[in-house]
Amino acid sequence: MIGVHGLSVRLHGREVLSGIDLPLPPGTITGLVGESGSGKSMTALAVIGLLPDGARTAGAVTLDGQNLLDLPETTLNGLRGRRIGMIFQEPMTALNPLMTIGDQVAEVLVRHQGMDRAQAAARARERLDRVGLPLPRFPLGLYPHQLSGGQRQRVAIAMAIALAPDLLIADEPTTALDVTTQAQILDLLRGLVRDEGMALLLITHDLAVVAGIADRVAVMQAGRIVEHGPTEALFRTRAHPYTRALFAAAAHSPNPARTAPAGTAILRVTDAVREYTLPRPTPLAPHPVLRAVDGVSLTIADGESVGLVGESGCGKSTLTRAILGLDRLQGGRIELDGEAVTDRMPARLRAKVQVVFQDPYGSFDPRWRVDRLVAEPFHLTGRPRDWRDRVAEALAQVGIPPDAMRRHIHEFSGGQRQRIAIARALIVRPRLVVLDEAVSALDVQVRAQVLDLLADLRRRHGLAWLFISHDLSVVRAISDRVLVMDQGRIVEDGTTEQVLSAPRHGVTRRLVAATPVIPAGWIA
Amino acid sequence: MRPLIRRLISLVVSLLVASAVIFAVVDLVPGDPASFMLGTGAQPDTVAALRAQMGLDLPWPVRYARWLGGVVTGDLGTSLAYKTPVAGMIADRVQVSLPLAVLALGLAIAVAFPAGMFAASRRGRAGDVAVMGGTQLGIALPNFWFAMLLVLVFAVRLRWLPAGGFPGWGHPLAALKSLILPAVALALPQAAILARVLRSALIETLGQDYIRSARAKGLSRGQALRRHALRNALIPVLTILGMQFSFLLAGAIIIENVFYLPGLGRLIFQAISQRDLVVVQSAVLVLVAAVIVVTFLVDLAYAAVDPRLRGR
Repeated sequence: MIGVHGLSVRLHGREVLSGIDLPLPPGTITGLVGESGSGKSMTALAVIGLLPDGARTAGAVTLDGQNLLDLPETTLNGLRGRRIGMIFQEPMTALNPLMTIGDQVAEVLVRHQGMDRAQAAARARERLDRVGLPLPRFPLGLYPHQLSGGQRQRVAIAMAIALAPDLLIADEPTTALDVTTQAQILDLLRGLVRDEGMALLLITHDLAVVAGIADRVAVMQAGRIVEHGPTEALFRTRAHPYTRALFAAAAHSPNPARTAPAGTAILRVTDAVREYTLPRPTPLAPHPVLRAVDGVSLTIADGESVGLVGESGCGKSTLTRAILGLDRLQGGRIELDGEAVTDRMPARLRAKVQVVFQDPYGSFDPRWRVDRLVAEPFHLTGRPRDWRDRVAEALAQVGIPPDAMRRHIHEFSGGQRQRIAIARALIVRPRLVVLDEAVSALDVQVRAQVLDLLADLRRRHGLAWLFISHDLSVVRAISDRVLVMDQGRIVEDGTTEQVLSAPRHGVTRRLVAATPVIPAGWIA
Repeated sequence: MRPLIRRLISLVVSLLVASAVIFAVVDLVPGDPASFMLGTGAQPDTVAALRAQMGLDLPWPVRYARWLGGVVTGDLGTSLAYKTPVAGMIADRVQVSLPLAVLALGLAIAVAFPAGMFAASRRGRAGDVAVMGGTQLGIALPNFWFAMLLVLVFAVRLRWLPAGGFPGWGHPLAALKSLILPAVALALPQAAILARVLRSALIETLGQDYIRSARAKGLSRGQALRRHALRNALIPVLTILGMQFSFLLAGAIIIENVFYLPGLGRLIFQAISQRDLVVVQSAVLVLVAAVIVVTFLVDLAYAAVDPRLRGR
């Protein structure tokens, strides 16, 4: 059995973990929750012995009675992958792009058991079958880029469990995946723990995920475990104030003071079609066509808040790009405030719709200062003389102090960056704001703040939102109406309550069923 | 198979375009070869007669077609200065320049790969600083100076290797010996550049998520570097290698002069100073063709290294 006893870690003189105690018994799933920066990942890295250079440890991580923290690197190399396996958050980048999935799984077997290629390949085949990647669809010779995110995460799991380790550490394994894929991966992990009797340490910021899967939960704050116990008991009692705060934030729903939508439509999409031509399968065959958006019609009223949900690949992003006038349609039309949206629409019209993306960092030029970043949309309307005041005002609205204007984006936290992105979207006073997974990357407390902010801004400015997300709980909290998209079509459209409480279409039901929820009785 | 054919077609098109550009540029250069050959005191009608004899009075499309037709059949024309076939002159020089470039590049790779990997694996530590300092020096030292140093030590003092000249491939061992010192002198800056590129590519790759995955599998730092990082770092290195080879083929003129080697670089230099336009034109064409072919091979190597680039 593996256990953590009084583990402390100092990094560059700063204590990042203090006195962590965490038993990890076989056949048990332990959830580790807390906000970003609380030390969850650092704990995992300490257990597997992959702390950053310069980290100083105290306490013990015990395996078979020996303290892993005292073992030399060569001995640890022999333990990692054999006794302790680990998977990470970002499946898109966790696999070597130049190596076949078969070789990547087999490498663990060759490394630890000295199997020859044929033996290792046979065993890799068996492990890939176990994680749900069977023949003939998934031969060993596939490369990672030929797989989806969920499939890549399965390969990563196959690598981590190839030798049936005593402990599997999963660091936010489903955060980057959509809800249905998340449910499948969680199912797989649960099955592995049951069948192979290993311990699972599941790190996540999503309390509902933990509620559905974990036997025990540990709550972390600022490098300490503040509460630890069986899942249901901990969820019911919430003894520590931080645990209570975390739960409040997760269940948070902004004040529903919803403005009655005015009758006029700010956005009207009629029979929109967007196709992609794919490469020819053989030299003379015609190009196959993928219809990513297949006859979509929808209307958003002035001041209305609409959620658009669907699984990855359903066409949400393509539709969004068309609405923003970034891609040309092959059929149908899109009107913004009565004028046609095209890829060459005038700046005046473009200023009426703004967008906030998922990754706030990736959408900012790291060399620009915040004032210039926020003022960027002014190129659509012409920069007013009082632009600095307008920037300060927009920043104030999202709760960023005006002294931030002369700073660079790397100096801000993820939540602050997303607020700055919202300020940038609002600076030209658009009529419609598209939020593309805009809160997915934020942890629960920051997310609650941002949702409050959005609701408040909408109340004050009468903006319309199009809120694109795979997270139904967020959509429920912020939208008046929900559209469900599947295979390029809108398959369900109704009020949020109607769609999410009594879903009619199969996809909606699947999404609702796959969304993890904390049992109502636990948090009453 | 299809992407290969597409690349081959683009290879041929590039060669045609390059030949047209070379023809046009040489054609536009002021100075008439005929009057140059006859000297400044020549009578105008003598010059005109020579022009007609050389085909210089024909319209340019005809001249281009003739020249290109000759090139395809291996006839590069006759040198104005030496009155011998250019194809033979270039072939003689390629016999020196090509082995020299291959040898220099091989040496550069042999030094740069271990050095770059060593430095990357010890980033920021003494070993890294030492290797990086060495590469700074390798880039900064003028290679003719280094070449002279090599001659002083290995030819003059130790007498292990000849100080210059080329005996021809009739004496393979002697020929190889005469290329060693120039190859070392050429390789030094290239190795330094290559080591630096490899180091920075490796350091970037080592920060990737899949390296962390490899470590979590139980691979040591060194194993993760060799098995996972190295191949991923190869793309920028291949780009540099392609450029270096093209440069080494014709850019060795100083080293060729230091070692009295009859290479391509010296041929071109002499031809330019003698206004031997036929030689210049043909030699440049050969070099451009070499660069285009090397680029094509580098493209193929990209696809061999990276499965995501196959089928594009």
